[in-house]
Amino acid sequence: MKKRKNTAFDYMVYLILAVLGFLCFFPFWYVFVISVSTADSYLADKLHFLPHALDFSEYYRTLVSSGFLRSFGISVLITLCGTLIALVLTIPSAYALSRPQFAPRKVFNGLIMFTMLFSGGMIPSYIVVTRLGLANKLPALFLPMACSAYNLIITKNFMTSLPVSLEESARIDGASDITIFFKIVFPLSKPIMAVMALFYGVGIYNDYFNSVLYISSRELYPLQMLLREMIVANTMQSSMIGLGNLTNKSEIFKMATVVISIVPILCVYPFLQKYFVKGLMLGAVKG
Amino acid sequence: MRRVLTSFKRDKWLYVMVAPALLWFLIFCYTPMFGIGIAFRRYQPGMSFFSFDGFVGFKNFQNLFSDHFFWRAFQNSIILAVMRIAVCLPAAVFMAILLSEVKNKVFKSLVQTVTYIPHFLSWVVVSVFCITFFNPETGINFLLKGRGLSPITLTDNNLFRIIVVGADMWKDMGFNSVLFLSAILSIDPGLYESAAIDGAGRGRCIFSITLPCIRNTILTVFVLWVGTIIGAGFDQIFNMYNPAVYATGDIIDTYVYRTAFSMGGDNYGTATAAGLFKSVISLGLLLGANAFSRRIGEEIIF
Repeated sequence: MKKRKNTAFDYMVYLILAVLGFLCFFPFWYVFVISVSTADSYLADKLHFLPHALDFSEYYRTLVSSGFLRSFGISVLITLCGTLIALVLTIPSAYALSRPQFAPRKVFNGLIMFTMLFSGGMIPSYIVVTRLGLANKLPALFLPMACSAYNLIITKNFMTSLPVSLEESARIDGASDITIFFKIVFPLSKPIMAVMALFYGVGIYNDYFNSVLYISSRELYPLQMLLREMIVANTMQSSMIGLGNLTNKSEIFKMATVVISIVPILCVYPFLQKYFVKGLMLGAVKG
Repeated sequence: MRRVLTSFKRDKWLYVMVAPALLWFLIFCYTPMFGIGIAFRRYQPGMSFFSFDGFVGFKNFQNLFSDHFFWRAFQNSIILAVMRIAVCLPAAVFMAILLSEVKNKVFKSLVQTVTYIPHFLSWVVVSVFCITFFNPETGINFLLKGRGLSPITLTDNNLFRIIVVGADMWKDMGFNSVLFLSAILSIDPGLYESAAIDGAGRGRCIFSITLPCIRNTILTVFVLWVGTIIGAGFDQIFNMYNPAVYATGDIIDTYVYRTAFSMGGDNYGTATAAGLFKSVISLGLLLGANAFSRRIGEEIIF
């Protein structure tokens, strides 16, 4: 296609996208501006659209505050453990379920698909997890999320698309299924493993539901739970009883904490963007 | 019988590989399903999970259906789900079409980078953003107050749903557009070239080529959303709502949570009944949406 000159249509597209991009960016900016305010500059300009100070002392206060680093450590720990377990559950089983010669494949697939249609609901799941002895224990934060029908189906689709010729020649040489899996399939599955690690990892790091259900002692709070307790609860109360101004110092502290808590996500974001998009495309190939 | 045995022996490693995942589904998905019997029992913590001790028939459902707070939560769930589908789905398609029309690669990847980021934040963080952004004293509300307009707050029943759906859109619009964008990019460029030769403008091409070509993708996403969207949103609502907006913001999941956990433990039966009701409704909606998409499109999902 030959290059066309920009028309009014193009400028319209650029304008709308620029506005949408700005709207996505602005809340980040707004929170950042508050987080680097001093108590005086916070009160001086209530708009907070432009920074009047660049004071990182509240960041320091967050990092040395009791609980923040521990909660952050817990979040990292459950994310790592959960992702590892999720991969162990997802990758080999997706391979087995993608083998056409595997007799009970259809039944197992059906059983797994059904969980996408119907679930027992919050209370029965809660009772099962607590009966397993997981109440107020860290595994409660990742075991219930360690597998999912949707991810299994995406992985299975990927496995189906692997070339069968390699596998056949290995089989002629007398290799067993387990050898084939570790020597041939495993190395070829690196892209889908990256996608799945990110799907599960981000899900567990960001999850709030399981922690509010199962974790009651403060020493075990993951980051999301700490943030919620520190920010949502306090702000609701103070804005309702009109203490907004009295608590401006802690407002800056809260925003600094939020900014620090999203830094890990921003650090892995380049990978996230690359692999998530890939994963969504894989999922889009219907199986 | 021999054949089954030989195939079992041959595939023993495959069984070993699939066993952990099946065990997981058995424990975390199927065991809770057997627990829906609790909806028909007066369940006390410590009672056996599978038995029918304290069977009360449909009494929990009677309690539930006579509770107008339940109907309020049910109604809110439906309204929010409809708003989400009606606003977020077209918005994602719109965004994908705009992105596909951009010729400048740098600008395109910049917009994609910025609009995908919010997807990776947790709902706790997004609700902090909302609470801060709509703080009654500062920022946008300070601006509105200065002009004598009424502020936008999270305690306003007239605005709460709009803010919830807006936050949803802010978080996921860019990301939801990925699927549609990939569908658009897989359209045969020859179609556009021949349309251009026939004198079709770009607006015309969008309506006559792009949209019809991605219709099946839109339908697929529509069906999947209908099935899950009534259940979705606990993390979001739970972190954004407050007693002042229960009237418009309480959804079934938050209702279930409060019924079971804020009033002692003996409402498990009623809470399970509410959850079961929700599961059945979303299953019905999913099958309905699937039948609908089967009628108007070729794609069949289930």
